[in-house]
Amino acid sequence: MNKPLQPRIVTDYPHKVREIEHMWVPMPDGVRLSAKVWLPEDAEDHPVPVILEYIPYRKRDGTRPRDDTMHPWWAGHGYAAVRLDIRGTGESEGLITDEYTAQELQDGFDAIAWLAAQPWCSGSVGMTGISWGGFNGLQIAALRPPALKAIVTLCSTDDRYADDVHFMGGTITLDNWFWGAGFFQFMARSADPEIQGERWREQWRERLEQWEPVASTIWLQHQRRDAYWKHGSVCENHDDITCAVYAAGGWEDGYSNAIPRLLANLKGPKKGLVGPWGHKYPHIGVPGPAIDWMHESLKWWDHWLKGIDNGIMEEPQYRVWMREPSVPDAMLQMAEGRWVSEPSWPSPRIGARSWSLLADGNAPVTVKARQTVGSTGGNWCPYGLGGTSPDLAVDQSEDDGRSLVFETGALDERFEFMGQGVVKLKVSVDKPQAFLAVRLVDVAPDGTAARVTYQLLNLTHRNDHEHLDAIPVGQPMDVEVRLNDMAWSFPAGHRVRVSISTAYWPVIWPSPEAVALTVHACDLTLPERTPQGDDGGDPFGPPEMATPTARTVVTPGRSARTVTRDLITGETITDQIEDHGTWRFDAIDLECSESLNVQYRIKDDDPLSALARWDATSTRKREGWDIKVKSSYTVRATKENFIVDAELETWDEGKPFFHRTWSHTVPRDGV
Amino acid sequence: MMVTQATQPRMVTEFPCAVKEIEHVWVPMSDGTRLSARIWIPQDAETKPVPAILEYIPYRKRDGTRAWDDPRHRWWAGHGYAAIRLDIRGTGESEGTITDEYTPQEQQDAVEAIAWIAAQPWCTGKVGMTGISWGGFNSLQVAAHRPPALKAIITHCSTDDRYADDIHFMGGTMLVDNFFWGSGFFEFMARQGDPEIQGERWKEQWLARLESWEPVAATIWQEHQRRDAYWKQGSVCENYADITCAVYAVGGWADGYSNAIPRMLANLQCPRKGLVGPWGHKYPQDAIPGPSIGWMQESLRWWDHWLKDDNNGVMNEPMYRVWLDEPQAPDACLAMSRGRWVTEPAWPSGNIGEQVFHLNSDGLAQKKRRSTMLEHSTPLTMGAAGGVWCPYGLGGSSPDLATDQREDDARSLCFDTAPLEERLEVLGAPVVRLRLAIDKEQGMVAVRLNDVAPDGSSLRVSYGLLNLSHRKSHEKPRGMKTGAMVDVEVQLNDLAHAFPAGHRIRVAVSTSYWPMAWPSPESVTMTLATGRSTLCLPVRPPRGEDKDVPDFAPPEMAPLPEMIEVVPGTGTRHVERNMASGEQVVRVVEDGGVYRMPGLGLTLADGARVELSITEGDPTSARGTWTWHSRRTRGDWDVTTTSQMTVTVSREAFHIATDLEAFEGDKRIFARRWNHDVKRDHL
Repeated sequence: MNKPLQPRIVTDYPHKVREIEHMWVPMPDGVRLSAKVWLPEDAEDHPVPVILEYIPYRKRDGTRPRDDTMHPWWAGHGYAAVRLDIRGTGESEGLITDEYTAQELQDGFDAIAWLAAQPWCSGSVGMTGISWGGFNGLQIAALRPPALKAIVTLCSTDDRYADDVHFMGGTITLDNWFWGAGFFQFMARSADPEIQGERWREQWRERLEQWEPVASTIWLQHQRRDAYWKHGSVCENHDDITCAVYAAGGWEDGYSNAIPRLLANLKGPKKGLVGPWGHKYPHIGVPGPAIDWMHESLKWWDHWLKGIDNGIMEEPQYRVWMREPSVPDAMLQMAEGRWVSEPSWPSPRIGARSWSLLADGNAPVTVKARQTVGSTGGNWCPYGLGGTSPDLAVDQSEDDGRSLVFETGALDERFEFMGQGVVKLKVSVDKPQAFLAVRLVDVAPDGTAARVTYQLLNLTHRNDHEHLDAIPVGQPMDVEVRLNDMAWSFPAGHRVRVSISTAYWPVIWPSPEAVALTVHACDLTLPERTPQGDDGGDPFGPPEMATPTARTVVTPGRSARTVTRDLITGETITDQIEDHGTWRFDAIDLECSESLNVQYRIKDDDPLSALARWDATSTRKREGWDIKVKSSYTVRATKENFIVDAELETWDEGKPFFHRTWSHTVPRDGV
Repeated sequence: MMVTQATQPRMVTEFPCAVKEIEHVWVPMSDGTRLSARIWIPQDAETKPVPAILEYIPYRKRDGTRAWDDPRHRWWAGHGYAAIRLDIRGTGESEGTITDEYTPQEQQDAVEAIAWIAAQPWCTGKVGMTGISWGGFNSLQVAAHRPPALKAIITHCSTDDRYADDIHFMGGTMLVDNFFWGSGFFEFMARQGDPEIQGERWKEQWLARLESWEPVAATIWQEHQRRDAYWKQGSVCENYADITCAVYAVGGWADGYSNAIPRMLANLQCPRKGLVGPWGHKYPQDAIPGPSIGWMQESLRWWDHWLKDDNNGVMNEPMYRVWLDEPQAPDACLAMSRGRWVTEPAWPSGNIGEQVFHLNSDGLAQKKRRSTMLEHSTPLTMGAAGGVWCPYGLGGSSPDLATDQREDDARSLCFDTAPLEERLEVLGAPVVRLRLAIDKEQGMVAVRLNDVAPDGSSLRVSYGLLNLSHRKSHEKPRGMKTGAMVDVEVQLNDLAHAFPAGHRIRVAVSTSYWPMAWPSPESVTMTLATGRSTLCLPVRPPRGEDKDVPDFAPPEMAPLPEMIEVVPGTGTRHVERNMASGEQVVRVVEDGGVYRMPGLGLTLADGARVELSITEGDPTSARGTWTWHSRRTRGDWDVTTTSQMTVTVSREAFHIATDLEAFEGDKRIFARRWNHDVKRDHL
């Protein structure tokens, strides 16, 4: 396997860096948030702008390795880099109740004001982060804190219903619970007594007493695009954001659609970047090539926080990796392709090419769902990439073989597109609840089938995700499926395939009954992009970063994803192991372990046999602090309801400390 | 996924004749070796002699095939026959040593045994021979020696051609089941005789067996990868005229051995009949997929006619009777087949026509289109939906049959007809002619014929394999010339199937078929000429008299021996894919559990495990491991035999590691390991 370039480790910087392991940031209500700060040693004399990352993933023992590679680098280049734990997480006081709450955003707003007022701060603040930290960068920007001049948002969304881990096209993703189970486990850990002191145990109990499995208590109560999901979705009014926005992500990530949508809708200064990566920072992006993201971000911060006229805003507004097909590989290390750019987005240079793959009036075609279609689909969001976790879609043939498939002939010449493909369909189904999983597939001359992009559509959501429309059983409906944004180059001789099924397990939770789908017409339109003279090249240079955290591996981790079919019962079992092993953070003398086991089970002929279970365990251990958190989440469904069981169990010094179980029955609402 | 259970045979305990059962009789051979027989006989046979029916196999009458033997042999004895179950030399309680399957010694022993039986005071002098699988093979082989007393045979699930249609090869490719059987045979024949029969000498004899026994799958069979004199021995097709006694050939479409039945009907000159049901490798009175039939009654009419000169009209009936099946949802454990019985007065039959379909670039059609070249290279994990070559394990426990072919089809080159406007019924062997080239010297093709239902599900109805180096001859293989187009013919397995209107016929062509056949040494890309390749279907238009085909009587048999389950058995087949490495592992468990046979005072445990793995992209990653064990206990007597065979390959050779161990209690009394490297011979 072709390995991506490892970032060069930088140890010499223009500024000497001081690292402050813990600093209290006071909130107006008296709660104190815990921050870790890296800043130039002379910042008190020569104040610098602040770059804030504000997430719940525990700066001290969670994101430490990642933070250490970025924040000191920025500090060394003349910034105060601040890693702030959200209220109720890590060492921060108070309680967390959900993701992206109004309280969280207000705290962020207040923290920015506090940071801007520090003697070492020039008064200008930027915000950045990936995933959660990318979301709340946008959400806080929409509140317009006066000191916030610019943000960089990575792998995030402006629309929590359309493009977050919970839903896709109005269907519920399995990753909704994968994330829900992880969130549930993560936020149940205690603060480090070395920061919190004596109170840590009392505070932990307080956290545990109020903590709920929000995936069932909150998220599942909102199965359509209601006010709950509109909160925190900056697309509700893109104009709220006036500061400069750099949106970055990767095609293999679950969040890339938001980037072109932000570019098209934000009115302020903006830039967009989509690489070939999964849910990763671009300097460690996998599949590669990774890029020198640190200098790219520095250029952005220098322009917007220091007023340096470095020309970054004269560069193309939108740069993406134009993918070429390679042999599908769940652990792809390096992607084929080249960098291309557009001066603005939408771009007048993008055309359209359409194919009528099944003209209305021809014989319609029918397929009845096999519930295991989707087993080659990888994960909705490939978190685990980094060479360890087989997350990506593999050869599509066996899913396509059980789907309706429409193909162009072999292409006479290379065809490239960039943007959102649109599949227009006339379909009918034999059940009142159904969804379509629509895949765009690149078929090589030897039959190798690589998924290019895909999208789901819950047919009760065909007109609107908030106000649903009943499905007229057996009656043809005209529907439009807008595929995930992509930039793809189909070589000459390859064919363009559209594959459609009414099941997509274990990416999407199945409809209550097996659905027979009839397609009467199928048209595909792809946004054609003609190759340009300035395509290609190496606009970023090789990646670099600061020194990673010293860690001693105690027990190595392992990851696996196996799919087992039992030919007697017809059951398919997907087992995923993400065991991070046991390691020691030498700097804080702390031994940590984390592991997650996932199991998805379904029978080919019975959507109600679907069962998903997540079991997570973590420990933290040092003289005087020895905790273990075990959590599990199980989801199944009847025709009418979801049934979600959750369990949380913790130990203190090996002794049971807290135990609680939940069982929720939540009616299906148009899914 | 079992839906409908097959009808259970009625247990019959009242017979026209009172039956005497003799647990053990020595049958002396001319060299002094004694074979052990078990006999069921009418009580008054000494005064009223009866014809004999002989079954002669190595599977241990005492503790191996008892559950097969009791229900049939007692039934025949109750209807006026001496039913004899004879252990082959060196197996079960028989003395001597066994060296291979179907040896000339084995056949000579049978000729002598038949003469001995015919000369017994309780025998009329007329002998019939029957058996399934091994016993079906040697019935044919022994018949070819024309023992004077042998008047008729019934051969079940057997072959007349040990190279074409036995578990070792298919179309010149090497079957993975070759090693399943080879390793099972190896363990089975390494077992001891029962001290209750053999007395004191049992252990000495066991050790002698263990010392002399070799893993013939690695030695003899593997040394003969082409159709040479070794395989011609025991293949009665080499001279059908050798057989003059009457032959009834019986089998099932789900079995690996059905092709021999129509071939023998077409080539034997002796009196003959053929019957093919929907069954796997099973006797028809207790077969899966059902319906099972009153086979005991049917066999009795055959024996009565040929051994008792009862003019019961059995030979006036149509020569060939088959189950013509209708498509059903593919199911690895199918319990009941849908379809009907049809007959042909003779075989080949003038009632069968021919319909040719062309493999066109846009599908399968009766009209030929312009020729185009299609390239294809099959992913090595294609074939996971293929089930096993020979579904032994059927009986509801083992998921052996092919499942929905769509995921395999998706990774093959497929040619579909439009939905059929009219029903099309087929009986016989389809032939696919392909014009193709490959980019390597060594390659194979797998051709599947599938019935595609309107909901998209794809049912395999027949298939065939061809080692392309064997395209002209299985005896004198010649490598392919890289890139050169050749015309090859692949004869698919015989079938009888109705394609309903609205269904599609699909031909799926691939360059590998794992874990059915060992893959070629290198990944092969095939170029197939459409418009120059055809499917020829043997079409049988329904006839009015089809309605008049009488039903068989309902199944019945004599009671099974008393068997008390101690630990239930399990049969599983899991296909596991590692999404990180691209490795696929097929894991099969066929565990008979633990049970007691109070009649013998024995507790028995038998089982097998199979693991077949391959990693996408690397044909030399193919690997198989077969593990077998058996244990017998009675009081302090506690004996265990275990074997393991592991086969790996390189581009040049097969590497076969074999282990054999034997235990008395916990004490290992024998252990031996073999390592064999055998060159690939155009394979």
